Amino acid sequence: MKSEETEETVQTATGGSFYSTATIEPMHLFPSAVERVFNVLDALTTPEYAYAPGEKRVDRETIQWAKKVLLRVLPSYYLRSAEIDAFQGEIHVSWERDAKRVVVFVPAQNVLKLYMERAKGDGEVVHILRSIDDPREINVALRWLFS
Amino acid sequence: MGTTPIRLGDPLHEEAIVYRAFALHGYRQRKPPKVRPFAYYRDESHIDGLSLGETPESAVAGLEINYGYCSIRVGDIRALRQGLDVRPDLDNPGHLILCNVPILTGSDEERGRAAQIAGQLARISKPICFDHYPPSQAEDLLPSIP
Repeated sequence: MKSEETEETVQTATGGSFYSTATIEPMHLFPSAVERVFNVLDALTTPEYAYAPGEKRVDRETIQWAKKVLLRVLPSYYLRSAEIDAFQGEIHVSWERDAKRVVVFVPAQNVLKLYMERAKGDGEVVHILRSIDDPREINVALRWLFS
Repeated sequence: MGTTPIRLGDPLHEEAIVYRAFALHGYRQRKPPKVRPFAYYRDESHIDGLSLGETPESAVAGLEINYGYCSIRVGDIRALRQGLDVRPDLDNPGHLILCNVPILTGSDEERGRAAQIAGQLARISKPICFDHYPPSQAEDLLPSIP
């Protein structure tokens, strides 16, 4: 994402103000939850990220796709509790709350699989998994998770 | 993990407690302490199943680095009624295999089952240690350093 020039009003020490054109990094335009998720996703391509020996690394296209998808997850406070894992070239974004769990599998660019489960009191667990085309369906799943 | 099938022994006793190493940081969560389903994801390279150990030491054996380990009771694994079982690796004492875990990167049906089973296994696992095990000698000496 490109940096954007943003016009902002700056208060001076004497109480006056003037307009300033400052360069603001795009990360500062987003809530911290989004920033954290972006940082974790970017870290997946770094040599320092701890993959299991022989494991397929996540490619940049899949990371860019995951970013686009997660930007559509609204409200952004859902992202605060998102856990992000890399597994055999895939990105997994998961949420757990009480007996419910939602996982968004991002196996490759333009591919999304949505997994939802609920653990019943008797130990039984029911789940559904389906491919989705519209990332906004994740919001529906997260509303269910947090309801 | 290997490329040739392992010779497996008979299933372990119901009461046996077995151990799963945290090979990756993301296998466990410190606060609140819990095992994450990620710890039980299997891919095609695990041709026999997932590795477990008879002891914490055997669970982490072969890992250059680990992030601790959890325990799990064999009877609890069977009680999930998912066809899972734990068998010894006859050629590697202390090494156990959690058999019949679906492959997460398989078909959608298999992926769904794999995610569900991983979640169930995580729930019945008891996190024991969240740091490299066994602690290095240098760490043991730390309290004695003035």
